[in-house]
Amino acid sequence: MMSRLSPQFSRRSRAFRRFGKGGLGVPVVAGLLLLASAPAHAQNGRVTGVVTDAQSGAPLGEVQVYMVGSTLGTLTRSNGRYLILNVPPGSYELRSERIGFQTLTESVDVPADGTVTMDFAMSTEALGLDEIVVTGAAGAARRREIGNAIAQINLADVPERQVNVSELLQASAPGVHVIGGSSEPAQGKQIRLRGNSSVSMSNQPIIYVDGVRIMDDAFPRVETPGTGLGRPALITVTPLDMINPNDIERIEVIKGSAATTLYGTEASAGVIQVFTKRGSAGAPVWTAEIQQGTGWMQPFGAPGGDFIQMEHYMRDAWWGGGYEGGQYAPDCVTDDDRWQGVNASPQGACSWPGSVWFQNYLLSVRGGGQNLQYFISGQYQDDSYVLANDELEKYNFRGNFTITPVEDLQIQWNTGYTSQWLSGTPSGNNAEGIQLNAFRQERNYVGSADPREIGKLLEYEFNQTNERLNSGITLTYTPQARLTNRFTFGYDYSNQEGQNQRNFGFFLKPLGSRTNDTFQRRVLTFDYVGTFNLPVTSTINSNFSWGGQAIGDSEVRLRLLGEDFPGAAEPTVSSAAIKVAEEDREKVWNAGFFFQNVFDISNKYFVTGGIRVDGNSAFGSGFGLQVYPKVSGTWVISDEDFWDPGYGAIKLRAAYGQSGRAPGAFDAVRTWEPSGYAGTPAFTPENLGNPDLGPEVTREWEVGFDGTWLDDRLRATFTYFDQRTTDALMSVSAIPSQGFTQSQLENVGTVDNSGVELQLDATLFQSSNFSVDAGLGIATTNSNVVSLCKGETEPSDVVLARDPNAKCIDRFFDLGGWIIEGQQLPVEMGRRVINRDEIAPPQFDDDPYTPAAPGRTGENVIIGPQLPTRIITPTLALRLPSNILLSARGEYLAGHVQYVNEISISRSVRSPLCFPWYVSPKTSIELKSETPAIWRERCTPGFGRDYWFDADYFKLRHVSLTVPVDAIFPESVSNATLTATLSNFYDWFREIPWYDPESLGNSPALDDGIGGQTERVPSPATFRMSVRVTF
Amino acid sequence: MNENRARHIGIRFTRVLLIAGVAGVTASGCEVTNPGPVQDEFLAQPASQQGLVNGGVRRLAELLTYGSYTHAILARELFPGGQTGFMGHDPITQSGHILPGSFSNRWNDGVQARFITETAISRFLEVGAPDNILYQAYLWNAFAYRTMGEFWCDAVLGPTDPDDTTPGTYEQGSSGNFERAVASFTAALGYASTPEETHAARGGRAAAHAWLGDWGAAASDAATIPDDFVFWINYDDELQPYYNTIFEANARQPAGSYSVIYTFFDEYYTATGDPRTPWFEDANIPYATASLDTYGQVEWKNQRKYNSRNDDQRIVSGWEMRLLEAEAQLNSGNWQAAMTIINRVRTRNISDTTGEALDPWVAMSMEEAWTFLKRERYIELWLEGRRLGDERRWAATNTPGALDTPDWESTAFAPGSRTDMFTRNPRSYCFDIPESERDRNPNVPPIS
Repeated sequence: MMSRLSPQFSRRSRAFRRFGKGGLGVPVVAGLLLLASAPAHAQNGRVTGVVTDAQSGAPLGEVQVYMVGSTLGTLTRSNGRYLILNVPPGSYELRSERIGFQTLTESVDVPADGTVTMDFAMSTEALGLDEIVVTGAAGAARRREIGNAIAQINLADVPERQVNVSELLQASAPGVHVIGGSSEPAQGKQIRLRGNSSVSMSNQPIIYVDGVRIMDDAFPRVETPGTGLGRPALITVTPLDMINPNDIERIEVIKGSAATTLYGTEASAGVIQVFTKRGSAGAPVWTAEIQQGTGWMQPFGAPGGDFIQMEHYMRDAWWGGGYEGGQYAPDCVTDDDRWQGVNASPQGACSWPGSVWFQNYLLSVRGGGQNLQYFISGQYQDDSYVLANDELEKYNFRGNFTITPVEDLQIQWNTGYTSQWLSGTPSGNNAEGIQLNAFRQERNYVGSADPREIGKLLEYEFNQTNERLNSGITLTYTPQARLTNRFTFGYDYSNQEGQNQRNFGFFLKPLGSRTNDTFQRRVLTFDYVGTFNLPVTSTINSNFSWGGQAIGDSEVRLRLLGEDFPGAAEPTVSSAAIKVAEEDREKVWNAGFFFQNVFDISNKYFVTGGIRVDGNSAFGSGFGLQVYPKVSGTWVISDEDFWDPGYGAIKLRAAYGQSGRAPGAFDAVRTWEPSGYAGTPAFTPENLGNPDLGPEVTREWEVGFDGTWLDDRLRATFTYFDQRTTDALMSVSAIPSQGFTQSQLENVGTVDNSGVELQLDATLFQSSNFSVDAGLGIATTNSNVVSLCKGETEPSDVVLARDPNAKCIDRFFDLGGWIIEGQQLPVEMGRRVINRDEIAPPQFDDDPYTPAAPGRTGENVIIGPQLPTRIITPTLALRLPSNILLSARGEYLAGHVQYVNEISISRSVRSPLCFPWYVSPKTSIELKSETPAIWRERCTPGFGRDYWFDADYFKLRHVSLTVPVDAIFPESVSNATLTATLSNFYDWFREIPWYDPESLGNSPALDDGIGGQTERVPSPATFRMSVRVTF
Repeated sequence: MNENRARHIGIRFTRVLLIAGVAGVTASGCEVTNPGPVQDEFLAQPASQQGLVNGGVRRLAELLTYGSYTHAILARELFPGGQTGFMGHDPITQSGHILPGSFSNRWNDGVQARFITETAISRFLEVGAPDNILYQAYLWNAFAYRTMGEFWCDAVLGPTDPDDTTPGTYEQGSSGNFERAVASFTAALGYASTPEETHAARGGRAAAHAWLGDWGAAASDAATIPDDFVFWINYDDELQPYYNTIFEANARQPAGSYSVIYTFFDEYYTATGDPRTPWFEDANIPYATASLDTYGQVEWKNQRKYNSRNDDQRIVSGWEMRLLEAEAQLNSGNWQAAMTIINRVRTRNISDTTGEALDPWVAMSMEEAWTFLKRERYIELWLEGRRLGDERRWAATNTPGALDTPDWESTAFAPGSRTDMFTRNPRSYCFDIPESERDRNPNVPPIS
């Protein structure tokens, strides 16, 4: 018999659930079919034809075919066929366009009541040299001009259906590393481009949407003021993941200072720019999509503890019982039973635990006339996740308008709004987290291993609302052909309101408590770019650009806590007996201007030189002006006369540039914190201050090539980069006894980072019905802390932050690891057992840094780098008859180590990590006599044990099957596809015996390092089905 | 639309937007003033003076509330329950050992309490301040030094001028801290204007004198303070940093981090009902949360001396002064006079179990008198962060008499298997100067 643990997991409306298991699917599909079957007009003609790939002869779907200068157009179906109805008789230019292919235009004469057939055979663009890229260039530039690597992800080329952008970026291009993964709803991820290059400042790239800067780091974790408690769900949402992926046309990624110079101070960790879809001239083109998905947990524990006692708090399979979360199933098999050899109970086995249900409904329309084009979209998403209280509901709207009031002025106004509500389950390394208490069994905070007791924690309510508005207006004024002015004004607003609530009567807080944590951030963008094109000679063209940007960034955070309510009514903070409030406000302006000139010599050689001058309000009244130069060159060697076309097409490139990072708003000045004490005002020392503080500067040079061979069947992009960060900002501890005990940012030290990036794609076989494409991305990073000394000072052991003679600092802890001269950034340190497999007491590596102290033998041994030093991303795509596409994408990360100890073995909690070595894992921590040294070390209670593992792993990110289903729809439906995507289904770990190396600490998406894991449930395997219809 | 007219409108629209943009940048304030933190130069303003002193008191409260809890574990006033994270201690501290270089947070609280009050004194003397404010600054500066002396094995003493950035010098032992405490208490007395203010400064100074072995001065100060005088450090439920931590750590919200089991007070309270050492059991809560290294779950018995986050902690009391007077008598060889004082302290208490006054101790020798003095201080100052210092002080001067500190090293705990956690490392009697100070300050030797 099942008994419900908690009668009330969620407070939100269930209105949408009334549609039953089918959700909105049935009514939406019916509506679409009705809309799609609108009658055609008489007298007008029709244009039809087939679009194929010129190389393979395969039909091309989703090609935009339209009458130039009219509103008539459509998309090709998966069989390459298109049909334009209601074409008034006359002569037209008929154009076919698709990203990655050369645009074709043909003349057609359409008779009354007649049909014209026009077929297109489209060729791919060799190297895409004439594709326009925007990010990192002043204005826009052709790819052939760009001297740095730039990754471009065209959504039309991504086979699987993604629900967030970070997953879209995962394994998408060499040098792009997306970190994190867990079972919580809307849990964000960190992004590293070419690894770490900064110690104390953010290593997250800055992000633009349609030229408007957005809040690029994660929302803060909802926290209770004035106490270490009240952090139950540990969800950190990222603005990037609140963008509807279906609104995106492409994403451009530039990874280092050689490319990001024009973004100035703040850009040395790279820039990601998202371009959303725009309207296009023509009749309205509607796209509707329904996604339904599910997921399930795969074992994440050691043998005997597959789910580490978490089965009871996960949702059961909806196909097995149909009930929602929080069910306690006492009669089914538990971990402990399995360990005892019981594989099935009389009542039957447990259901497949942790199943989830995703629903996603999308609708968009694009179209317009000559003077106004529009793209409008909406999304509704409703997901339930693995743990009992985990749910997400999201609304997304976008309106993009292109207005051309006169020929030389274009106004682009893009606005996106997202609102999401989520409910979380108390989780993580938290005294009131389900995982911690389930993992530790009777030695937990609940004082019982009984799931019914632990399940009372589910009454701890966690709700969070995130809202985002991103709006930008861009005016492009071209008074003459050679002169372009572009002005962008952008407003990005982010709001989060989170509540953690323990109701009156909650068993661990009988009088209850409520936290209300409100966070708002506004980012203003002012951006002007002017470009003047001047032919110098018949073969040399000069493109001069100038511009200025100002980014204003302000944030407000209000945190309220109310404790001890008078009764069981729905509480507010006001109704509590004890109230605590905290308010933080911060505003930073960063502004700069630049000049750049591109010399185009014979359309084969391009030399670019530029300079950016930047200031930041964090440097006080001086504004800390900083100059960042850049220079780059490209040579399209395959356009040379001497080049045999049989050698393929190759562009060589090299680039050098600088960019920087500014410290925080208060780092330069000495401040005291008005902290209060027992209801009275009080000041305590806060920030030591450093009036000489400047930005850290990263310079980078990179060389590489882009090439295609064998009629574009083999394509490669290679880049070698070398970065050096000087005046690196590091958190230097003062001498505590002098009063200011917090560390202070100082410009100290030098950090190097280098690596290679190779993307190799090959069409192994192609015909009109079949093709096999394979890809391999390889990226390496090799960071090195060259010096922890100011300027050119030689490294030394002296560490004196406030001594004027001091030049160097010692190793220190940051980024979730250790910063040590001569080591990667950062490295992990700890104990290392050297007789790992011996059946004997453990012996340890000598400690090079600290003399052995009692109980701390060999504790400070360098174990290895925290971030992967090698990432390999294989892809495979099979195209079958009828344009059915089967594709797969994987990611192998290697060269790093990870600390894994979710269970507090130190306090004699029995850990599934050690189950294989316990004599009696259900009752005792006594180890078997044959336990090898490494496991004796890990499984014996104590301090500072060797829980370090070689963290190499492989994950099959996605397997996707795309099946065209146009045939079941009327002809007015131009395109329909069914896509099935299986994600996170297979993984392989070199040494970590359990768990998931992508599960991170308490703030997964915040930029505070990725070192350790805490008690979390990793990402489930998921399966999503999607039907998308365009008409 | 006429093309020229449209062009005109377009250009005008562009201009308006450009002007709006520039105006927007200007109006939004490239001149950034961020609220919140206060810059150095505003601290000495008259309206800020009390706030600056309060900052020092806050840090001292943070040091005392957490430090007293840790010292209670080390002094075996409490038995660890196994909690290592929130409101707990790492397994080595639970076993009674302080890792060299650890507890930097407590050190930071202590040095900031001293630094803030020294900053206050310096700024106030410069710009002028009311006597009461100067009294407070000196008084709390003195208590900061006294607490640092009682809690840490060694001292780092730097210039008292907050603008002098010369790194402090290392001094073995605690004398330097107590000497500075005496000096500041004395300075505070110069600004005291009420009897209570005088008692607080003299009481604090008496204890510092005792540490310095100046028993004449200690007794002289102590004698001026009435029995019923109490001076508290203020704890408050407003913010966790200055909750009464000993209460909170066992309040099951959610942690139940320690027990009274196996301590001297477990059996003592059962036997005597001494209202100064109350504890209770709860049938619904058999065990402390978490479990103890190598031992397992710990039977939960909770102290009742502190019953809320708001309960303040004594840092001077008339009864403590009496015991200082008794100790001064013992140091002078007058053990009978000492016993008279000790029993006056003791018999004022009415037993929770019998309703009668507690029985006096009966000593037959100097050694027994010392034993009762030590016991009575153990009881009187239970959970006030004083015991560990007392033991260190008595050890340093080889005083006679036995201690009631339980011998967990050789105890076979019941139920379950015996733990060896208490035998792994030697028991500590004070905090070590933390690694953060040793790493940064060239005058402080590295961990040895």
